[in-house]
Amino acid sequence: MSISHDEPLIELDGVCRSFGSGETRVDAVRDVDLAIGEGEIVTVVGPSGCGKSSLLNMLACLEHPDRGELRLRGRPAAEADVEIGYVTQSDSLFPWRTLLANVEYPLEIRGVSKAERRERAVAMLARVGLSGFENHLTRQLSGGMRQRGNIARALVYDPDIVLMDEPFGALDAQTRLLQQRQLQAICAEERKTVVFITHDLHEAILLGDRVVVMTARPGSIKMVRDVGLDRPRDLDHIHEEPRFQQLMTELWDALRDEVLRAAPAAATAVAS
Amino acid sequence: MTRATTTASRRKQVPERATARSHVKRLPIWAQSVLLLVAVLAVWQFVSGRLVDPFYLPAPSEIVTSLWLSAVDGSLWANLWTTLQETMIGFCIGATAALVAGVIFGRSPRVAAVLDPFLVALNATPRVALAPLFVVWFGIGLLSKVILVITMVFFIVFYNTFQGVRSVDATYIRVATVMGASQRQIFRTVILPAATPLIVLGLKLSIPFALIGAVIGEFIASSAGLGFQIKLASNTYDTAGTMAGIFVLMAVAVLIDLALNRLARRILFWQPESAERTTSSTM
Repeated sequence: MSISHDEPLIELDGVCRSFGSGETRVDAVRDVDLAIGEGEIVTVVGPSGCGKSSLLNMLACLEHPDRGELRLRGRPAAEADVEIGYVTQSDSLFPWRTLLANVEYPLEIRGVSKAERRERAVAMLARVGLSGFENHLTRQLSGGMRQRGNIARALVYDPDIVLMDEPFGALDAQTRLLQQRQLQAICAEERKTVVFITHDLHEAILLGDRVVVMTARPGSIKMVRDVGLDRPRDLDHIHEEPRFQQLMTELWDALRDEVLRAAPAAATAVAS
Repeated sequence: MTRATTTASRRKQVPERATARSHVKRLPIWAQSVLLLVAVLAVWQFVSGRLVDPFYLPAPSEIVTSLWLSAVDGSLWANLWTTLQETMIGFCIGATAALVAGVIFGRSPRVAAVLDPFLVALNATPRVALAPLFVVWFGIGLLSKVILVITMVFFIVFYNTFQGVRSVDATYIRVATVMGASQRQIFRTVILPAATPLIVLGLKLSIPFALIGAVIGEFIASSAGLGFQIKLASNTYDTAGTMAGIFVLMAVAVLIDLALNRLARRILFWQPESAERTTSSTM
């Protein structure tokens, strides 16, 4: 753990990403500069289709920038020795494995011994509140439980960075509230570097140390704000704090323009 | 109120029928099925020889007698064994080849694109039309039937495997990649299990066709097997013997299907019940 704190864990330097070529070319992400420090929780909001997921896929090294550079711990992403946890928007637990076997999976492919991976997976499941469900199949679990299982699987191998792509987007409001609460507790314990994508500004402020607002496509960074609310946060009453309200107003003003720009039909309806 | 009184009065009008019906309804489903079977057999037994010439429609008792005779002299078991051998050998070879080919095609879009027209053409060719050719090439023994069975089984298993491998949810692969799985590990731990439902479906669907292939092969030219027994009987206008052979085939197909369903449920324990019920109709 001899990492100098001056050097950010994640550095995006003029990153661009486009799909297709010629006339059908679509710029998904344009000129993104962002540095994320060790242990920081950065939430990213933006209108749908603004390249948030593309940005996350690049951080996960599933896609690669067309221009610009992504550095992890100061080295180009391809050669960096950085482990990444990835929680997808949709439920991605393997349905042919039990919950426990799912959480064991990343340890299994790392060649961790059977006894150790069982022990670690059981402990991880306990931390996300899924003790007693080890031998359930994923179809026997509720949406919220599956998403916690996903999070457990992404954390069990102790990755340096955890990427979350709207993990609670498909859950109902009450379940989402519980998940947010639990995620905050886990983040506080684990001290992980988290990049969390959401379309929910409220969630972005609740969970983030910093909130990044992205523009409509091609996605670039419109605004970055430090949240500056003390942790642990009281999620039930945080919206009463002046700082929260101020951020909400400021960020929503920025986000709304982009949302309207992303959906021109809705914009004219609002204008008239 | 009015509704209650009308149902009550209706019940009063037909008391004896309602009780008879409710007796039947109280039986378990399988018992009701057996009851239906017994009724059909009874009507059949009555009709044959009275309303219909037994030459065309032999009574169930005659079919059973014919079955019994062939079972006692051992010819039934020898023929059954021959047909099962052809079916199983052909199925094993055809399914294995199809699994390998399906996986290769599913993993390599270029190979799939190049060979696709040939496969479509081969699959469109009626296998029955190939059967006489196989007899010429491979003789009237086991080999020609096995080859015919392979051609029946191959395409069903192949297309299901191909489809299964190709349609694996990309999210699973992405997640495994990020978690650090190698290509090999992804294939073994993600693609294969995700493709299993379709592969198992293909295997299940192909078994009855394997049986059909063996019997058709025996019809064309053979000296043993259930198809041979049926053909021999029909050539001598022995309708009871013909039907006896058909019933044995039916029983074999049903038993195999039952066993396969049980096996499939074991392999696909993680799937919801409804997903695996789609196949029986093809029998």
